[in-house]
Amino acid sequence: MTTNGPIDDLDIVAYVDGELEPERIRELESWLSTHPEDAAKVHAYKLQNLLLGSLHEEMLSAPLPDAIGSAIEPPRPPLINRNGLRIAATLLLMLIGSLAGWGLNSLYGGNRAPEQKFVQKALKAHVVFISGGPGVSETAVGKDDKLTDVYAQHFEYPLKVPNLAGAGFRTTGRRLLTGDGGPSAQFMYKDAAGRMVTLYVQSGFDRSDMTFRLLAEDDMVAFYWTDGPLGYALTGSMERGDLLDLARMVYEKLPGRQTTTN
Amino acid sequence: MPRDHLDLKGCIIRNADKRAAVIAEVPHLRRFALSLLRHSDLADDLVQDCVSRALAKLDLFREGTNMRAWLFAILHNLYVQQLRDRRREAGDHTAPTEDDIRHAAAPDQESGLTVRDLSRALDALEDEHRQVILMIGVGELSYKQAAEVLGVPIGTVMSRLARGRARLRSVMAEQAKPTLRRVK
Repeated sequence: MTTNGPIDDLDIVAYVDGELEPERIRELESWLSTHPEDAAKVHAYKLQNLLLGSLHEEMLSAPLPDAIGSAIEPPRPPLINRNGLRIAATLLLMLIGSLAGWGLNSLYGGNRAPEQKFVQKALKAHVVFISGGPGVSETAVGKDDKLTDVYAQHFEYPLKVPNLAGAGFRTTGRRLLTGDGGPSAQFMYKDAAGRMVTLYVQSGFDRSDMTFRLLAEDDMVAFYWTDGPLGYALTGSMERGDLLDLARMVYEKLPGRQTTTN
Repeated sequence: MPRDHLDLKGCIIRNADKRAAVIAEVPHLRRFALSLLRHSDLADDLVQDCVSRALAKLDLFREGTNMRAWLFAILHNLYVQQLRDRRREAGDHTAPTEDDIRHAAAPDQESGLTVRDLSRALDALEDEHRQVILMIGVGELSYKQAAEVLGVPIGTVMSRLARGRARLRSVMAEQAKPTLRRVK
């Protein structure tokens, strides 16, 4: 029993495309059982959709031509924190490039394979941390001075463990690691709300690699950059703005930023 | 931290998000453009134009709306403009015509319906029918989104689809029996 009049071609098209209202679907399906011509039409249109679905499907994974690649590449942001330029402003400028650069990388291959590998390792390290893996401090908390020497030896570069207590994050663990790509370290932080952040540091970068990038994967966000020979990645599952604030804290506490203290 | 700084940060992150969303849609734009133009250089030119424009006016994208539909609207407008220009300069032979492309592919021996049959059959459709079929079938837009992209009522989208699909079906049915027609 139809309530909206006989089935017409518009109904059939909407049915095939999944745009028909549920109550009308029932009417249409019972109509089809007694109208073989319309049933054949539905069959043919479904076949059309099947073929349309694979039309030029290869384009979805095809590499981008150079012209499009450069159309989506942002203008190069200033990479180094110059004298007189406020750190925060620099970070923001670099961030503009970083987000687009990240998208570009994932699509376009890019030439930043070492950085990609690095940030992937950092994400893994964070996953291990938040899933309750090794997060125990290897050295008692509170011996930062001694640790600084240990890290300097490990990286052959001065590294002071960034203190994020100002943002409510206390250090819950540290690990020194070695592996492909060079010596690395992992610092784990947690705040009162239970939010966890991992700072992953690895040496072996060029000074010229200095960039500030963002990667979002699943529900994790990582800000990463290099400073001197060290690459840093700060990973957390939190709002980007909050993580950016933390990233800024870490960045400002780096050895190269604090020439007058320490 | 001063308040304006926070706002600045929020704004930049939002625009960066939009930018990333545009970039994520590029493969879909290429696929749609290639389906529409059937010539990869022409399609990529169109996509490049579209993406450049989109990135230049990111502020006009309203958050909470569909990025693909927004980009398709830009691409559609550029396409319509191109068609108009091409008609105006009808003497221009430098760009491959649709006929060149249509006949480039030899007919399949098989009578089974393949993607290539579909591609050839699409050529036989009127432009406005082909566009709406591709927007929905390839671009995966909803009827409502397609209506917005084209600037027409949803009923118009549906009637174009109905006519286009019927035509597509009969053309493909014809293609499925080429040997019968060739017998002389």
